[in-house]
Amino acid sequence: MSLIEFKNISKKFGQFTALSDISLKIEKNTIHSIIGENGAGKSTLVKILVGIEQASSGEMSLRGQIYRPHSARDAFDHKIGLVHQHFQLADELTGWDHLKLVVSNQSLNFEDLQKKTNLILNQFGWSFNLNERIKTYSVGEQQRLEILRVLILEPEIVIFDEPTAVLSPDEIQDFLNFMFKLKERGHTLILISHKLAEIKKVSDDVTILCRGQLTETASIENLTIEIMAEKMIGRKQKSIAHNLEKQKNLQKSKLSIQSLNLELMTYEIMGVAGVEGNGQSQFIDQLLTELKGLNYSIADISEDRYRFSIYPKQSLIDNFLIRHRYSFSNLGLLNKTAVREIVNEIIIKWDVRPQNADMLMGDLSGGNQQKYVIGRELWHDPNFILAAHPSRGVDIGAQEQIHQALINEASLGKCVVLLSSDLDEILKLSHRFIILFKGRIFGPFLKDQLSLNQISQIMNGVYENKIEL
Amino acid sequence: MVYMKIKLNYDFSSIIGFFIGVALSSILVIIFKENPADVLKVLSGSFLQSKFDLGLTLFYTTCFLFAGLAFSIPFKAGLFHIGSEGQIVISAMVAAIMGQTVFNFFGVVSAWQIAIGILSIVGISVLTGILAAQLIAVFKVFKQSHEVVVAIMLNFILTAFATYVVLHFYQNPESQNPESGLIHPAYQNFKSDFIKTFFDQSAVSSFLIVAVLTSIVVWFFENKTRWGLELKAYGENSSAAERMGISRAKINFLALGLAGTFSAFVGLTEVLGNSYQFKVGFSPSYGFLGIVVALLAQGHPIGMLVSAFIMAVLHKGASDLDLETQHLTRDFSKVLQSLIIFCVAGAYYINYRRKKS
Amino acid sequence: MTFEILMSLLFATVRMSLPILYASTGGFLSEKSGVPQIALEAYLLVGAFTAASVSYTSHSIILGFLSAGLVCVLFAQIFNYLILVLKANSIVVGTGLNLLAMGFIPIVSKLLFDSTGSTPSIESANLSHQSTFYIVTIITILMMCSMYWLSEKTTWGLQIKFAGEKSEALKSVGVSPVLRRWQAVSLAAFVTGLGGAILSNYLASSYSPLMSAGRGFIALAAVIFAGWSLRKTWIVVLFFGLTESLQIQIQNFDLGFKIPNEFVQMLPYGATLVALLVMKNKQLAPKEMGSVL
Repeated sequence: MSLIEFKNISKKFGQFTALSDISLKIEKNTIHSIIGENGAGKSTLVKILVGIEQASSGEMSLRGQIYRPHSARDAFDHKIGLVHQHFQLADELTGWDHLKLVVSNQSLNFEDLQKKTNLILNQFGWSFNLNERIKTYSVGEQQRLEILRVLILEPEIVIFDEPTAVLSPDEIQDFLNFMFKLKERGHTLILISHKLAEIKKVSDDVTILCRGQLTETASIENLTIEIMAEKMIGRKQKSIAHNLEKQKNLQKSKLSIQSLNLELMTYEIMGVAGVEGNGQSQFIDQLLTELKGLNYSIADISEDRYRFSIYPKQSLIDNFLIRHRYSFSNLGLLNKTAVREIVNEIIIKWDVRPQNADMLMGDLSGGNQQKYVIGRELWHDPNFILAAHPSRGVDIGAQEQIHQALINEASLGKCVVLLSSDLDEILKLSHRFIILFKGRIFGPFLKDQLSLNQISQIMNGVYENKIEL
Repeated sequence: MVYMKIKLNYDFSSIIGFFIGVALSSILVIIFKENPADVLKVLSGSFLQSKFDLGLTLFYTTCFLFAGLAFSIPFKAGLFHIGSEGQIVISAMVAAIMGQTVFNFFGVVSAWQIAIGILSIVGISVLTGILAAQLIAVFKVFKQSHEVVVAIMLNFILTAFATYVVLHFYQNPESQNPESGLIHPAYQNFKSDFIKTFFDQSAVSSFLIVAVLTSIVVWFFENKTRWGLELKAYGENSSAAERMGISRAKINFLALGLAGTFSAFVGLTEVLGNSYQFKVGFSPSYGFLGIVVALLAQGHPIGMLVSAFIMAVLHKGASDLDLETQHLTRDFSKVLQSLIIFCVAGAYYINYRRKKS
Repeated sequence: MTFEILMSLLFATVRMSLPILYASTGGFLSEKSGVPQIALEAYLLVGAFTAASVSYTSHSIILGFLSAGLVCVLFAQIFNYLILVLKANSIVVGTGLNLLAMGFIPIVSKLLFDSTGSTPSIESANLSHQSTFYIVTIITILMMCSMYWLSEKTTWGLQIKFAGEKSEALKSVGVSPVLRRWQAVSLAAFVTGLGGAILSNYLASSYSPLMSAGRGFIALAAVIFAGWSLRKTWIVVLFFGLTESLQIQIQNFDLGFKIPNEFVQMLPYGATLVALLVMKNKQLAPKEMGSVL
């Protein structure tokens, strides 16, 4: 008898089918990974498991009995714990406050709580100060606190939602080891991810979702990374045409960024690698400030679309107009007539769906928003392109289109800066790249200059105190 | 769920909320042993009783309209501006003081001199309103303080200060009431303006026309100018707007500067167009009621012409309740206004959330 | 001689600070849970009127106080419903609440006592001032101890803080942030209502129109000035009260100079603005204040 079983689970949101007829089994004391692209339905499936959403049809069973949770509380009562991808921590409150909150429904006095906590800390070899406020914690420590919050309630089943998204390569290895220890302790683990290499290392079984459907559920022995990738996107990955070799005969010119002590080149993609939280925002800020001061025309594909690139309540037309307002205003008065045609062109060129210029930006899916943003930013044929996490949240098909566009722009003589926390993306596209660690710039390096291991070490601070490599 | 793009783009929940508010108030009067039908008749009919009454109602409309604009522009820029009250009072005070003193500088013989005198009164009064509003902007821009808190503090400070100045330095020697002296007769020429004469010398004046024109100008500003677009953009997503080169300081100072201007016009409407003096407590919370006017019209400048008028009708009607009923006093207008606020605020947000899902 | 002045000053300070002390506690509770609270004025008025009316008719101060608190709680449900269920904006609704109180009370007063001015004096109902003093003292000590214990030493208090800082965290442990906010606001109204009762039953002997005179806003200013910390708020309240009583003492003892009344009135607000200017208090505001749940 499997520990958890999904039988023909489907979920619809209005007209949209998020999950369609999902049946799978999760065995006790295994590490079971659920993988898929963005929008494949992984989070929805897990939300149903923990009672945050209810299935439209189908049934779940837990330990052989029918299981229909109606709230997070129900799931918790059934000994299921979820470690969220986005931490639910209050900056101004302390670590102990958070733990106390978690046990507030039980009559547990502080002493006992401390004992339990210290037990867990010792088991995993963690040490950090729980009297401090969250805002003083590093990202890794914050994640550990999140995990603590879940473990303190002694769940049998622990679900991890994209746990390695914000960790450096070494921290990721630590985390994978931690997973094994948890399994030794007797837990059953469910891992939601799209990082195939990690999945391969740690899983016992894998379930693959693609566009709401189950394309595979099997033991890891029968799956290679290539097979998993294929099942995730439902088709074979296209390989990108790389024109990177034809560099030698080009008339490259330099672009010096004083404030960063960095020299960029035209006809080139400069990658910026690094774990999130190591100074990327400041880097972008300084870069943009200096470029704007030099009056460069810039394409700004920002690192956080919702914060910096879009106005959800405005139409696609207005989103364009705000960005390019100076080109369409005369003495302070707006001239909207030409805008509509331009926006329609962008929609067609970048395959933005639905194809409606009057549509509100907020009604578009994430991938379509990103495509629109890129189309908008490239419209005025800028000299400089900043692409920060350009394919985050975008499905593989659109990813390829975006990557190809960046390569095209570079080949036309533009200067492209590609900032990403996805090392694969960086290494695939960059001519040269730098690594950010705690605000320091390491490099620039040529594409094949360093081994993956060396790169990981730099990203993780091994060279922190050394001046030269 | 996609919005249907009607030219009007209006969401009828606010109007429904309004009527529910009025209905609730009328039902409430049963507790006070009054007949709801009678009360409703008084409320809705009072403004039409005579030209004078209509004029008074239009005076309230003028003030509510300016106050509504003073709230709605910053609101579009993402600011919750409730500082209008203090700005109204301080600019009114300045207008009254200038009205008493400025004739010394310019003389009051020729029409030119009088015109310059009045222009200077208007100008300085508006400047005062702008400066008072910019104080809020300063706190917001340089200290990231919440504008509601600063505005509440300033409202009290400015009102107390105005009272102090008037009572201690400009008290009307001919009256026991806490008020300033009258402005120079030469500046009281709104007395003879055609609108006021038409409405039998009631409170209304040509400032009504100014208010209507201002609404139209504001509509134009919001929809047809680049600054208006930037303001809207900033209000919806300030981080994106800043990233695209829209300056935070500029938007704050612009939005609040405009708000201060409109607040000042309320003060001017009162001092230059109605009482020709500063009376302590002259404002029946115009600043706050402007919020209701703006919400009712969902910030649409032309729509506010209507909502300001409706609020004015009710305000006028409530003041008659004192005489026409046994138990209700003019305080009932506050009850009415509060119920309207509740229902409009509630309806507005119910619908907003319904559209979001 | 100076000792007398000092004692007189101290006593007057504490006395006059009482309503604000209660109102600021109410403001603290509400804002800490994430609900901006500008309707303290309304609660003070409602509490003052209720206490004056009930004490007079029932000849019992305790009943007056109790009913003041309870009526305020009922009154606050309008606010709670609009803010928490209909998700309306708390500043707008708070303004409405203030207007409602100011408009409603005179009409009720006319109905009950046939006067829109002051309510009948409770002294005429044979209630001794001495016993009022003891009741007020006891209630105040009880209030301060229980509110401090509640907010700092109980799980409920911790959950209130999470409701205002990170409501998601609260939801994930199965506690509804909406419920906590509802409770915080109701409790805030109760406490503030008691403050209103003190206003009409202790500092005066009847309710007079608009007798709260902006104290509700001074209380809010105190909470902000003190950086949303309960103990600091109480100290700030005393400080504000001190300035007010100082001015009266100066008048009484005719020490030569006189600060105009209006400037003394301005002081709490001006001081708060200075605090906002100088200190980094913004960081201390509950992160999710005003957030829609």
